[in-house]
Amino acid sequence: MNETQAIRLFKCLADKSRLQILKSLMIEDMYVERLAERLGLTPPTVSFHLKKLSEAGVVTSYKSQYYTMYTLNRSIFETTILQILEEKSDEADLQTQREAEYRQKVMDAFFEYGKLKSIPAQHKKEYIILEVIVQAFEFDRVYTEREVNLIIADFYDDFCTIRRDLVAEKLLDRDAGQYWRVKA
Amino acid sequence: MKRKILKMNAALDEKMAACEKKRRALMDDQRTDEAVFQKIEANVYEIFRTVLAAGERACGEEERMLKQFFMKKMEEIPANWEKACETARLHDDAVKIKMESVKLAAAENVKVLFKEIWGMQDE
Repeated sequence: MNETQAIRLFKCLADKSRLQILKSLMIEDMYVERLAERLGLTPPTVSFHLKKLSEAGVVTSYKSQYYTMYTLNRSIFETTILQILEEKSDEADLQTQREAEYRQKVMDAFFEYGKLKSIPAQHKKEYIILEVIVQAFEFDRVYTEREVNLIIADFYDDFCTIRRDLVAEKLLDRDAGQYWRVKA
Repeated sequence: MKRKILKMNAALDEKMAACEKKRRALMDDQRTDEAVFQKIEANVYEIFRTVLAAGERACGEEERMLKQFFMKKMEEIPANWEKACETARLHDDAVKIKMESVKLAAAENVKVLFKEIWGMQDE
């Protein structure tokens, strides 16, 4: 079940009359007039709900003599909510693209010719600029504090703040005056 | 004639208030779509309340003209709903049928009210 189908299903089920119709169909297959009588609804209202349920794939119909009988599509209820959540989102690619655009926007706003203009006040933005700065450090290499300061100073004069924030955000780790880049 | 217009407006207001009451009850009962039907019905009463006001402005004190004006609109406006309902029936579209039927039933209620207040029951 894809995301669109799941949304349609949930929307469809979020209605007391439709749940009552489904509960009736749990007992046995029924036709519109019988459902209307049982539930105290008019036949056009029941038809309306059955159409919505059919569109969501929850019920199906078949002809029996003069009647159109409605039956529960039990297989749809065998899907668990976890299975629906595990499905790859149609939105995933779009979200990645939006995130990349946002990231670029922040970088354009705070960097000028490779130098950081100011430290963003917003945490999310500061994290983005820290991620950019940390790329100047190699993995599997240990730096002295002086080396760290010199690298950061290429980006921003207040290297102490940036160094502390890199450690606080776990982008760099330190021990006994030695620093190294943390693998994501 | 003013008295009749006031009576008609009061009757339409009463119908709208009843729809709103039902709509709220249905919403509270988690019957969202049926609550929407009540909103649709109330909108139809609102439309004809506006038509009556327009008629009053256009016809002044001419009661016969107002009657003709209103009854003409009573034919014209629901004609589109009737057409949409017929098309929906052809396509077996129960959702659309229901929506258009709600509008047509409300329009019929307005017609009955108007005829009653203007003494046109036999027309």
